[in-house]
Amino acid sequence: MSSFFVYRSVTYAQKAGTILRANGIASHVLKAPSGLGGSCAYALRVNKSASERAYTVLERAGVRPERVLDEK
Amino acid sequence: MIYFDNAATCLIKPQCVAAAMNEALCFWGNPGRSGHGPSLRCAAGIYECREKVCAFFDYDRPENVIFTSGATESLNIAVRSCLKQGSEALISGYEHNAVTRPLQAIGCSVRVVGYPPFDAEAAIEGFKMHFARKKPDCVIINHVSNVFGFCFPALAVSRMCADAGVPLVLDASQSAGNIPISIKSFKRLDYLCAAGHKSLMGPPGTGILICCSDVKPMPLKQGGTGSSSDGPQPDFLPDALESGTPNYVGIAGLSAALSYISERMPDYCAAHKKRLVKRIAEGLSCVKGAEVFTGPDQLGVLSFRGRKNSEEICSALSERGICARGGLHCSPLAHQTAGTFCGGTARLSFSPFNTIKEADYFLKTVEKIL
Repeated sequence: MSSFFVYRSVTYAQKAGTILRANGIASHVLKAPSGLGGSCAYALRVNKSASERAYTVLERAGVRPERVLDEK
Repeated sequence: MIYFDNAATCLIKPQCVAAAMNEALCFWGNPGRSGHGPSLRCAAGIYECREKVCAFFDYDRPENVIFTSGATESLNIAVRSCLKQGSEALISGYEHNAVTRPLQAIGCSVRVVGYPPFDAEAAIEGFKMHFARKKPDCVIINHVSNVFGFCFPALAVSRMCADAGVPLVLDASQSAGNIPISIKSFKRLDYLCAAGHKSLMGPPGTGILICCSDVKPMPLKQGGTGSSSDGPQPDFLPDALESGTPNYVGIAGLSAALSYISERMPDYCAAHKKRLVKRIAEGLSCVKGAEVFTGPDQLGVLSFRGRKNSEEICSALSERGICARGGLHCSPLAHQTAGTFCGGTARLSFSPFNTIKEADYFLKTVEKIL
C-alpha cells in the first residue's frame, strides 16, 4: 500500500523527494494519476508505513504537499 | 590557436560537458509534461542542476533557480521585475548593454555612479553619495567588469540597499566561476544574473537567474509550463519564468560544468587566471606604446591600448593565431566612465585552460604589433 503526496509541479515533487531521501525515506516521483490532483500535477509515491513520518519531514522543510491520498 | 576571448564565451570546455549534452540529447524527454521515463529523467536532471547552482552560490531554494538563455535574458527579467516606466535606477558606471538597453526600453530614469576602474573606495563613496541625495527604486551593479576585470565591492552596496529598502540586482556574468559568491553573505540581494557559457564553462544558450527575495518576478513570456494547464500563467517559481520547452540539453551541459568547476574552485580557476593577468600586465607595461589597465582585485580580464586602434590590434593578433576582442565590448558606458570610449580597448580574457606559455607567446607577438 502507498500514499501519494501531490504537488503542483514536477520541481516541487523533485524537491520533496530529495528531502525524503536525505531523511532515509524512499519515494518515487510520478505523474499524478487522473483524479489525484489538479491538472498536470505530480506526486510522490511513499510507502504507507512511512507516510506519516514523511509528511512531518516535508512539513518541517516547508514543502507540504497540496494533498495526500492513500492507495485504495 | 590561442583563445583569449573567454569573457565573450568559453571555447574550450571540460570534456564532461559534451558527454552530458549528448546523453540528454539522446535520452531525455520534455520535463514536467509527462510521466514516462525520458520526461522524468530530464526533470530529475534539471532539478539536480538547480541544486548544484544553489550549492555553487550558497543558496538553499532550488525552485528559485531559473534557467534562461543567457545573462541577457536573466537581466531583462530582473530589470523588468524591479522597475517600471518612470522608476529610477542607480547603476554603476560599468554596466553592460544588457542592463542599459532594457532600462532605456522600459523608460526608466538612470543615475550612473562614475569612478575610476579598480578604485573600490571611490565606488563605495559614489554610491553613498547618491543614496544620500535620493533613494533610488533599484540598484544594479556589475560584479566584475567585462572590460577591465575589476571586482566591484558588492557587499558594501548590498548593505546600503538593505538599510534603505532598495532592491539590488547583481550582474554576475563575469564573476560567477571566477570568485566564490555566497548569496547568504549579501545583506540584501534580489536577483543574481549569470551566464552559463562564460567562466562557468557550460554551453552557449544557458543562463541563470536566482530570485533571492520576494520581489514579484515579471515573466518575459507566457506559455506552457506543464503545470496548472487549466489556469493562467502560474505565479510560482520556477514555472512562472520558465515557459516553453527548456534548453535541457544545455542545462545538462551546464550541470556537468558546475560539477567540474565546483571541484576546482577557487585555486584552479581564479588563482590561475590571476597569474595569467599578472604575467601579461607586467609584460605589457614594459612594451613601448602600450597602456595597460590593471589593479587590485582583477579577475580574468585585462584591457590594454596601443598606438593603433583596438580593433586593428585584435585583427593583427588574429592573423597571428591569437583570439582577443577589441572595441567597446557591448559596454559603451564602461568605456565612457573609464575614458576609453574613443577607440575602446583590446581585451584579453582567460580560462583555466590557458597557459603561461600562451601568455608569453602573446607578449612576444604583441610587441611586434603595438
